[in-house]
Amino acid sequence: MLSSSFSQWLVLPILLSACICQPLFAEIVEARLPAGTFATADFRAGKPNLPAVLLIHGFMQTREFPTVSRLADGLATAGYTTLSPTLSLGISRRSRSLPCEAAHRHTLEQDVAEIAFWVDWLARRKPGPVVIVGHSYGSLQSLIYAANKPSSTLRQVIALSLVDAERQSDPRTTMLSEAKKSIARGETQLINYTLGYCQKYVGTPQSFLSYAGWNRTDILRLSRKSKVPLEVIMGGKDDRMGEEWTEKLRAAGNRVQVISGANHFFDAEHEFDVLELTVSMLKSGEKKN
Amino acid sequence: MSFFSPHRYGPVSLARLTFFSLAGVTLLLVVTSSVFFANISRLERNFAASNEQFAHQELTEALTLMENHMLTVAKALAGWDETRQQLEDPTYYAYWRNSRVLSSGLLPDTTDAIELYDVNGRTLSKESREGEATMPAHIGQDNLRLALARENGHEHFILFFPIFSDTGLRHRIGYGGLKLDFNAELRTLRRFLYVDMASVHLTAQDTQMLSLDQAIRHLAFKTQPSAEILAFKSLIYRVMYQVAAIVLIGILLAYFFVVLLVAKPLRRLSEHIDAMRTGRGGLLSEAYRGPVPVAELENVRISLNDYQSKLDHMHVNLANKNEELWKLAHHDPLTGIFNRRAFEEDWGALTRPALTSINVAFLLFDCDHFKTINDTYGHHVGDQVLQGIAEALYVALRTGDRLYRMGGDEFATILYETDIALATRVAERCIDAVTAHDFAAYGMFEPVRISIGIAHSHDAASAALLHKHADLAMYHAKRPGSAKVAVYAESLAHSSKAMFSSPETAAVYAAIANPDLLEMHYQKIVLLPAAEVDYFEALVRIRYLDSLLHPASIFSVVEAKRLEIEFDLAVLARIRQDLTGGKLPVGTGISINISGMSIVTAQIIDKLLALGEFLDRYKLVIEITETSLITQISHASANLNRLRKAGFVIALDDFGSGYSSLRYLSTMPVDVIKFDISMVHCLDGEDRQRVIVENLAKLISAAGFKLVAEGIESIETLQRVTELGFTHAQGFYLGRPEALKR
Repeated sequence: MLSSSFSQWLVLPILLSACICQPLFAEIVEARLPAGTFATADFRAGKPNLPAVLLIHGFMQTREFPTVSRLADGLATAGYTTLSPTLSLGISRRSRSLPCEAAHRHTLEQDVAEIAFWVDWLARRKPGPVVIVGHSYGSLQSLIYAANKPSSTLRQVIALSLVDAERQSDPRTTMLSEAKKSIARGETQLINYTLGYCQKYVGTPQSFLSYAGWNRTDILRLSRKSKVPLEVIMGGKDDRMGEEWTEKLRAAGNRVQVISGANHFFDAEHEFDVLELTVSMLKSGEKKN
Repeated sequence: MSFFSPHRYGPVSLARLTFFSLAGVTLLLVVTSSVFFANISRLERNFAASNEQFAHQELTEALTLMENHMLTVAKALAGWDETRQQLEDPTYYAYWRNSRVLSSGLLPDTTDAIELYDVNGRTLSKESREGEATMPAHIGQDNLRLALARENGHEHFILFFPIFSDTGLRHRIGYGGLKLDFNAELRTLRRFLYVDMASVHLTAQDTQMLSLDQAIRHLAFKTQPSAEILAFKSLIYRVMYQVAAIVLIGILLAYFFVVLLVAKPLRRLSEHIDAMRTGRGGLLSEAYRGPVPVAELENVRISLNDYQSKLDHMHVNLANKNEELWKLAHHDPLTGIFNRRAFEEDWGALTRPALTSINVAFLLFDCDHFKTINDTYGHHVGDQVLQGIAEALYVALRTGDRLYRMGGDEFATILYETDIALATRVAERCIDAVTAHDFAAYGMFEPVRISIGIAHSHDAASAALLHKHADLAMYHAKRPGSAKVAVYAESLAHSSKAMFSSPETAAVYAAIANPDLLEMHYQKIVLLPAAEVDYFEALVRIRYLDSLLHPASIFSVVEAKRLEIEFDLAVLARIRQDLTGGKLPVGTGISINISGMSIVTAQIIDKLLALGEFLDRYKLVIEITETSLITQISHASANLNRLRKAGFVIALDDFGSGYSSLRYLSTMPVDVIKFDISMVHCLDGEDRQRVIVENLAKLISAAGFKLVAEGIESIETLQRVTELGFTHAQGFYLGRPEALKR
């Protein structure tokens, strides 16, 4: 585990050199997804010798979410080619986080498909290895992609604050059961669910079930199933998954780094720590290859 | 006369004057307030006109703001991910329109309806909606503008706008429609200072879509009064009402205090002064007590009380003085009894017409021979005699009977509820009392007697004659040989009538008024022993109603009526005519008889001195009686000396007929002594009287006096007086009195 002071001293020269050598502003790219929806992403071209990094934001967020945005900036500054898409969630050119009360028809499978699309898009734009850095639920989506027919260019998955959509207080079993029954009945109407941080998730049973169907056991199973190395960074104060989660991940054979004092979002001074660790993991991934 | 002159309407009370003054102030306040309120109203109208302009400007600006606001909302709505989501997949459009978009925070609270349309302008809604919140099912390109419409009496802003899928606005994917409540929206956009938003309405027909430019012309509204003006007006009104209330309270308090502190005390002072004024000189029972709050009125009250106190003191003094004056006015200073004034007042009360039945006796007292007493003993003794008589009568009368001195030696009393017998007994008691009085203590040797006349009356009519009847009775009592008390009876009236209502009395009064009625007869006084006429004694007669009155008749009236001075003046006037007319031979003279009262009268002396112009042709002799000379010896002597110095000769008449005294004779300023006829007749006898008279004549002659013998009626008497040394003689033997003929 790295100390915060050390990581700051390490990152600072990287940022300074990036300010001199790299463009500060990203290129907004737009792509028509196979479903016909238009999706957008920030692209920053980096050094050719460094792997391209695909950053996946959290549940219903956008690429503008601070944790992802800062990390993208930091990696781009560090010379990495970065691509930060905003998952469309069925909305062309979605620009804002989607509220819980919005009509949710999108599914996790669609999200994973979009990750696959952007991995391919990135591979075409910058040939070479691709590393996915996901945050929060985006980590799970990235892990699902990595465990199921990922692109050959995918070299590594770095999961920040790896979580599922489960909450201890959720009437999860009942809702899952009801959702399954609704699907079985062919119902597509919008239903109020409790999902993750959404106390009122207005969505179709298919949408709800696609996200809520993944539990921790599934995550550990996926980690073992992943085709590429999975490295996990957790916040020392992120208690969403319980105290034993880190150990369970390690027990599943994953390399897990914990940033002491950081929360789920690595706010404040911990953004430097998470950047340092990410860079460190990217570099370690390069050496392994 | 001015309008407010007190003579016009009479004096006004202070309270009423204060009331009118304060009412005037109130009226002035009302008028001022009315003018003020009129100015406020005019100011309000000016502000209203200005507000109208501001309101129109305000509404125009609000519509511009409204347009900008709706465009902003439309832009936000068009750029919202979930809007595009619906246009790409309208499966859950109803949820979006009915719930999601309304809770998104993108729409204002004034939103009445929202609708999305596909790229062909058809609504995404699969169900039709009625009412205000309805939106058209289809829109065209001409609808893409902001409009104002009236629906079912309610105004709305309606905006249809395109929605693009990209930020470059190249890919239009549909349209949005937004309907806002016009009035509520305007209220949320800005605060309206001039427009009364409740009154704003569109004058267009329902469903007519108006552009903003058109809407401005079709908007009707009312202005609301400026808050500042309302506040200012409210403040002014409040201040005015407060001032009015304060002024009215002040006026009421002023009126109350003026009435309480000024008018009421002033009224009390006025009433007090009125009480003093109408008190007819009586003293007020009490002063104005209790302090007055106003210093000036307190000073007036104190001054008034001081004045009243002094007035009371003066009143008491005046009452005392009045009493003293009344006493002086109603009492005789010599005797201390009531005087004639008191008698007349009592007499007036007695004889007033209201009295119909009285039973009263009137007693008139007169001293016998008082004149002689006076002449003999002088006034001092005479006064003492009068005091003594008064004292005796007062003691003799009953308690309560009033004794009056009527004048001279005449006294009177009125006896009420008295009959003749009782009155007679009282009169006799008076006679006894006077008789018993010790007059010798005054140096008198003769007794003093009084005569009393009594008159009695049973009714008021005859009471008026009581005095006259008592007078007649009293004169009857004075007659020699009569009882000293006489009661009036009809028989007395007839016998006395001649005295009191005789032609002689009328003749005397007529002669005084017209001296031409006097006829002077002159009797020779001859110079002895030659018996040549030296001068004439003027003896008066009155020719009246074809008869000639002689001195006996004349002087009884003159003395009774106290007409000596007036009659002597008439005689002197008549003698002056005779002297002027030259009836007397030049070189002779006239001897003129002058009464005792006249000799001390300056007017007579002046008339006599005026006759001095005839002294160069005539000898003028003034004859006076011994009594008259003795009575006022000092004054009379001074006048006689003046006449002597002027050339007159003074003769003492009727010497020997009274209380003649040789001591007096020696000091009298006389030149001639006329022996009374009674003295001259004594010379015809052989007794001691003759001797005395003869020697007396010699004695007087030896003293240097010239002697005139009166009553010479024979040659023998003439010879005798000639022998005795008489220088002059007078009598029928020498010549009767006769009128002179020129």
